[in-house]
Amino acid sequence: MEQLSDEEVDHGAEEDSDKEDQDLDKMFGAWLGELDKLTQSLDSDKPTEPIKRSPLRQETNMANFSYRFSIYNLNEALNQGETVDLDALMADLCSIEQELSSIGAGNSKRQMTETKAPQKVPAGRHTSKHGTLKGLSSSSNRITKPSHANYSLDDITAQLEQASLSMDEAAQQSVLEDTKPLVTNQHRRTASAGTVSDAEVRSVSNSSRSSITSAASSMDSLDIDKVTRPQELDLTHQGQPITEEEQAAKLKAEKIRVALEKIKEAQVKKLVIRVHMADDSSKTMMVDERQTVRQVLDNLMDKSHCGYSLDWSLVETISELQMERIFEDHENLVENLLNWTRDSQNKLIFMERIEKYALFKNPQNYLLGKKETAEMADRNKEVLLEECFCGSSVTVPEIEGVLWLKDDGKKSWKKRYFLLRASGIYYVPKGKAKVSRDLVCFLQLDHVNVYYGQDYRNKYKAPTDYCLVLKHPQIQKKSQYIKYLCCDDMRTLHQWVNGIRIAKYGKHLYMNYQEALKRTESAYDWTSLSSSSIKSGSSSSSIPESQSNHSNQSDSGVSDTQPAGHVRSQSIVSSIFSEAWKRGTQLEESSKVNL
Amino acid sequence: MAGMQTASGDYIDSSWELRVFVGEEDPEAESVTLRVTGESHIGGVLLKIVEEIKRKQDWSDHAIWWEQKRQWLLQTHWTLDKYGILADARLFFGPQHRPIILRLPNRCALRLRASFSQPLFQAVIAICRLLSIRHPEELSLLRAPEKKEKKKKEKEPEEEVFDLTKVVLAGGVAPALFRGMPAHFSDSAQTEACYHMLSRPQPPPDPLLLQRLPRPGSLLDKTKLHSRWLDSSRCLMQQGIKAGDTLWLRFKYYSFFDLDPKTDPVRLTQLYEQARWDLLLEEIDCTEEEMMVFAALQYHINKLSQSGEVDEPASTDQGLDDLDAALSNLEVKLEGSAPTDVLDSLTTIPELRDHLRIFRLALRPRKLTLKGYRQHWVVFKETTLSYYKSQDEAPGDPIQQLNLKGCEVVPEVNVSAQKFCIKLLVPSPEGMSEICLRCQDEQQYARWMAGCRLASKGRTMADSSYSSEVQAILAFLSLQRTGGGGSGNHPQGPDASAEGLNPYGLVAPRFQRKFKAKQLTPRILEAHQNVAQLSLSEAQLRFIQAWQSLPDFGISYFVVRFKGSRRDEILGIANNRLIRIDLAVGDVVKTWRFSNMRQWNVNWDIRQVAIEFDEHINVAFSCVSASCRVVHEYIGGYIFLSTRERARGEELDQDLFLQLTGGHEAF
Repeated sequence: MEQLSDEEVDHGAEEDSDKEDQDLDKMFGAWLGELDKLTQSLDSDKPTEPIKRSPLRQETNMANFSYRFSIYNLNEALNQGETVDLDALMADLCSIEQELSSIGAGNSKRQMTETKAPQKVPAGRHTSKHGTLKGLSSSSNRITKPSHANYSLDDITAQLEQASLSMDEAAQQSVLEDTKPLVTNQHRRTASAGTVSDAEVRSVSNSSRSSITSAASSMDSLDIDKVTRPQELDLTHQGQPITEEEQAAKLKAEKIRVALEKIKEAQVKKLVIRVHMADDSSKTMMVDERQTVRQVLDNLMDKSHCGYSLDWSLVETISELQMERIFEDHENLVENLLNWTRDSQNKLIFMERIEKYALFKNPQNYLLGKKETAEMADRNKEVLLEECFCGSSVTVPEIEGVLWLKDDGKKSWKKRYFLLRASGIYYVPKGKAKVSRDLVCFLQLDHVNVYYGQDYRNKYKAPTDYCLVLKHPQIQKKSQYIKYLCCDDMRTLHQWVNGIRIAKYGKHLYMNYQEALKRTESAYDWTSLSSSSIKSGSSSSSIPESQSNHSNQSDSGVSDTQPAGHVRSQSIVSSIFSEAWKRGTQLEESSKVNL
Repeated sequence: MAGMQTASGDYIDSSWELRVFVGEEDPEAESVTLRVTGESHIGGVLLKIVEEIKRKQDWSDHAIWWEQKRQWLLQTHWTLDKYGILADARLFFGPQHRPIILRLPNRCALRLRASFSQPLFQAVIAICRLLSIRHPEELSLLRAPEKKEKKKKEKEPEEEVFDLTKVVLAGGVAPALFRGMPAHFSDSAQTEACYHMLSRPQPPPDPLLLQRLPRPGSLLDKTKLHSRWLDSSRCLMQQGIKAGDTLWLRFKYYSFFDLDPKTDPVRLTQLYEQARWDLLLEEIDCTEEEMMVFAALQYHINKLSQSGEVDEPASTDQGLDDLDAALSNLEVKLEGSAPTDVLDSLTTIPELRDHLRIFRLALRPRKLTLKGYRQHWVVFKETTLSYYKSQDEAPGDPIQQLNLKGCEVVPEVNVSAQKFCIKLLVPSPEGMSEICLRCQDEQQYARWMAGCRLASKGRTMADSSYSSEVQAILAFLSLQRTGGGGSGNHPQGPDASAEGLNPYGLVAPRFQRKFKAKQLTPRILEAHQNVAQLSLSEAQLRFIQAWQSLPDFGISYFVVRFKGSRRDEILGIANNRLIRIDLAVGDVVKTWRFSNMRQWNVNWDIRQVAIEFDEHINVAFSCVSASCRVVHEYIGGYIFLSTRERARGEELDQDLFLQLTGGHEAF
């Protein structure tokens, strides 16, 4: 109940904001305009494209990108109506709320902050609306702050300001709570944290504002709400040391430190994202900026009950450019999504992709620089992977050959002999030999990602459909800075893409794989434990399905693969070297014999 | 006892006279004559010799060397009969440890005592222990190349030879650290200097010298080095090395185990030096871009080591400092003593506003119209750069606004020409925007440059590192002024300003020919930007890693003739594979991996190495450029090194190494 009204207050603030406060920073104005549009579109329940009415500044000011994305996706999600997985989203929120409330629970000084709050917000009290507004907009501002690890002074002061402002905001909320008893089941679940702020603020009921928005609109204020909420709790911590003047200075400093850490916690930005499933359905979920793709994948696998498999991937498709990329597990999802433009048609797809870890399942096809596919004994595969990824530096496979390069701005393609090196992609200039000293650098890989091009035969008259694209992740539209390469066959394409991944990510890639392997194996363990009846064969219904995607792994049944997986994990270190050892002694014997 | 005689002086036992020379292999040396029998033990003989010499001296290191058999008589409990020694044996009673001059990977010379009686493998272990280099199995010794007799005696500058002959290392325990160095180095100023030489990178070589030094012109030249490796299973004496000879100490096996900057300063530095010389002398090829990175790292490393910044543990935790600062501010704030305007100033992020000349590249560089630089009013706030036609229009919409987060910042500076430009490559959804800001002077440049650099990392000018960044840029500019890195095509002598950037000492000679110094300097500086934050050991490690990532890294070349083939070919041996290479073209013909290897044999009579791989692939070749035991040892050595992960933390299994690499002498 409280929770709901809380959201609505936020929303009300957004509405009002547009009418007053012309004098606020332009940044804030932009943000508010944004919100205004959103609420309008929500109220009218019509899917209006927000882009059309966005001010020019939005296009140039990157600072606004962060929430654009979430709004767009959210908007879309809302417009879809029934398909939105409200339950799931609320569950996310609940868990976060609980975390936060547990922080707040230990705090016995609520009353103090009650009295403190009004004093600390002199500016905000002149016009409470103003205050709320500022709190809101500054919270949005904070969203764009790149790294909370680097604590700069104004981060914290701004933070504090916001915190006090949000107190004010919370005050209005408590009023609203009475005026607006609109409750749904999901919302009730989040009430736990709401009570904290409620108690704090009830006495400061100086706000007379009320806003009425549809229940549906509560959705979009959720992420904003999420950001502001924690500060209320933090403030109570900050409040402590000041009021108790008798406390020793050291203790005070310590508490401030604790409070700062909490602020840091609270400063985490969260995005509501929409993930498309392979079966055309979609899920809406919340990700926080610290989450890696791996964590999001784990989440999704849990939720969608799809079974565990290495191949589950988050795929980014950029429809405007007809390209896609599988996010690497160690990448930060939010960071990547913030590169999307506000009106982006890009999609995030959750699906199984064999390509993701094919490199590790059959390393011989990728690491040896050979032209033909081959079988290899598991033992040798491991040796090969160890050699490539576990040394003091990663060995980039020697990939070279003729590729087609698309001319800038034209639909014509030229042949060139390309080579991959750890330092980038090179080509052999015309009339020169293939020696290092004469190579010309085509691209360095630090600033570009590698994408698969889709249907470029039609789009760009590519010689084949096996195209790869290299571009800076921020580029979202056609540009001369995007490089298109075309391979003769699928195999070459995958070799190049994986080679580039190795050159770019190095050890990370292997660590990702091992982590993923661990997850799937522990999932097997767990399922086999729970279904204690028969250990093999029945462990999980979803296993066979995912197993079928393990491209070249020959095993057919679950009972076979399960032990194999375990053996593999153990063997990785020990067996390889015992093998090497054995070989060594064999060799020694053999050389003895021959003397 | 031997020497029983009758009254007339005839010997009635089977004793005979044995003559032993005292000293190293010197026919003029003094000699003693002993009366022995075939039953005499070596230990007894040694005792007698010492008695005969009648000199008080520590003889403990002395042993008998049997010249004809080229063998040390080290088993003191063996009898002369067991060794097969008769009266005609030429025996020398000399020290087992003798001084040699080691040419280290950093090209410095060091005199020390090495064991002439133990197998080289053990001698190297002892040397490395003295130098405090871990994992001695990766190193070995080479004969110094024969000096070409130069017609005119070029003035060879007298070089300093460091001396460690007097240092005695207590056996057993690992040397303790004392004053930041292993205790045995801290005895005297000389040994301390020696440790600095070992653990700190050397300044760049004189470019003129670099051009004079021999460089391999072809694969064939690269094979020459490997013919000089000494045999690990035999001692120095057996290999004809004499006291005072010069030997090279090098990392032989390119498989560096457990490289740890904290415990391995000497190893890391020497490895870095070997990598650097490899690159400078074109032993290994790299591309232009790679060379610039290597040069930038060298420049950075030199700067750090010359400024005496020995690696302090990188405790400067930026985040913590910021947190402290923030804390104190917060405290002030919470006390409520701060008026609101102070509050505002705290939240306001400093910004730069100035007239700058801007040169903007149109999005289509092909149809570029050169408009040149135009004066604009530029405002730099947070991480965003906006520019306006004039100051009056500032409140309105800017001509362009760029968020510099994630952008590339490239300095384009020529101090002597008073050109201070900042090139920005800013990504945006529509592509990249290239923009060039031209500043009037150093001060303005430093402020804006520092802002841009921070912004590209997503930080604002409020960041505490801003002012230090400004200072660093100013210092950098003044360096360029004094160093005169851009002063034309004349490489500077070694006495040129130590701190200035002389690009010719940092790149391989072929780049010296290709580029002018003033072309190289900005490129190196550009690359330097990416590594400027590294500490000394981090930079060295980065250098080594970049070296390891080169495609040709760690391949030792040999000229061989494959069975059934009529022409010479090149065999490359790397840590995980054998490579057959066409001698003329340099193309890889075939690769075999050690992991597929079943066995290898050496036929010492016809000097042929035969290797069997999985699936009955057999390869046989005879060695042309080097002895086939060098090849054999390389292969066995790599196999041995691959067992290390398993035996981590255990004592080095010397027997296994010798078994794998030894050949027939070992058994």
